Amino acid sequence: MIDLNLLKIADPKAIEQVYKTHKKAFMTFGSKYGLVEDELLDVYQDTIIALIENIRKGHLNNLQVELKTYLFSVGKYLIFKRMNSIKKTDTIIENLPKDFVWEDFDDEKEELLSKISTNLKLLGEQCYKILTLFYYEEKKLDEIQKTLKYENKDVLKSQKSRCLNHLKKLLNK
Amino acid sequence: MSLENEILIEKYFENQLSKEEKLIFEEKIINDERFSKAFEFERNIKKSIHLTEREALKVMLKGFDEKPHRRVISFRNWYWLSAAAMIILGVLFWLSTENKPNNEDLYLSYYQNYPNVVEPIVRGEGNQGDKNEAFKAYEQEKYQKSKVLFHNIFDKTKAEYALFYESQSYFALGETQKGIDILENASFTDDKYQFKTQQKWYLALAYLKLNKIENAKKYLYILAKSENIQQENASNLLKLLP
Repeated sequence: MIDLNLLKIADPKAIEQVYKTHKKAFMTFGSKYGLVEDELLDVYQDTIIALIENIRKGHLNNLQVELKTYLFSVGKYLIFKRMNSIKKTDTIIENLPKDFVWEDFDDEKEELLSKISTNLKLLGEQCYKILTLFYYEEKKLDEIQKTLKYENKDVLKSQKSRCLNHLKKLLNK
Repeated sequence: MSLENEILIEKYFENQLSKEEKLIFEEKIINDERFSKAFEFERNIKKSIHLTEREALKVMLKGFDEKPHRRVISFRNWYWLSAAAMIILGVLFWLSTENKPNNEDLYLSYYQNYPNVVEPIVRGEGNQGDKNEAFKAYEQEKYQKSKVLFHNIFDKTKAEYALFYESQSYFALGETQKGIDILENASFTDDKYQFKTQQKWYLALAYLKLNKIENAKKYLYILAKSENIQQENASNLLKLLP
């Protein structure tokens, strides 16, 4: 049994456990859809990434089904998406798990996003934590204040604002 | 930016906009350039963090699939056979000197070019740009080309990945010292792509190839004592070195 709380903190051992536990069954399950093995493995990895991402965003807090069922349902969705993109088809996939969110980010601003990514790392650990909790894990500022033990929300807000201004300056250099 | 606007954007990302606020928000996106720029900036941060986190996870997952290398298995056989022979024949000296794999063997057992984890090449999508071209060359094993392209990208942008993959191109070409020179002088600021860890791993392997065992061991010890993706490989490799 995998502890979702460990996945929530992105514990590498827990991620490895969930990845290895379901890999074989997923590859068998996915093979009938006609993707080549490398593509299918890539989709499986994306499925795990989507799972972790949704756990970190708190979307699995009230999971009503088995983790495997959830995983395969997400996997099926991503397999169809991949097939649509390769074969230029437009198959609609239903029955996605409730609250599942997976945003595809277009790559038109690839260079800008990569520049932001590089500079985010120069902001320091605290800024990266705040911004990751807010924009990636989609935590509210009140929750972040508690998690990072800020005296009050205003202190956190001005810290976040400083992080953003610093980032802007780095990007304009 | 006004406090009102700041709060609107904050609420958007917290998914807390009321119906009325949503209307105001949408109106501002269209008519208030400053507002829409500020929003776009934060939206790009959101995208960028998502891509960074996803890529870091992808590297981790790919690491789980790395099987023990082909030649490591044969080396394990060698090890077992040696141990058995030692007991049976008692020819310790012969085994430890004549049959022990040399450093080149060990290097070949463990060396594998670092995969492209930065720029997924999607076949048939006709992606453009220097970065894409460099990774395409790298994936197609055109390392003479990729080393130049990565070098140029680094010159222009100082992007860490370019430096890392330039070194990888040199290693693949067998120009080991050049790869070492790059990695020894590089300072990777973050480990999202695992560059910091892989820097030590590839330096260890490169020194091993050049028979500079003490230098190799220095990096292997660092990797073996903390939790990282190469910890197990480093510990195993250390056991095999004199």
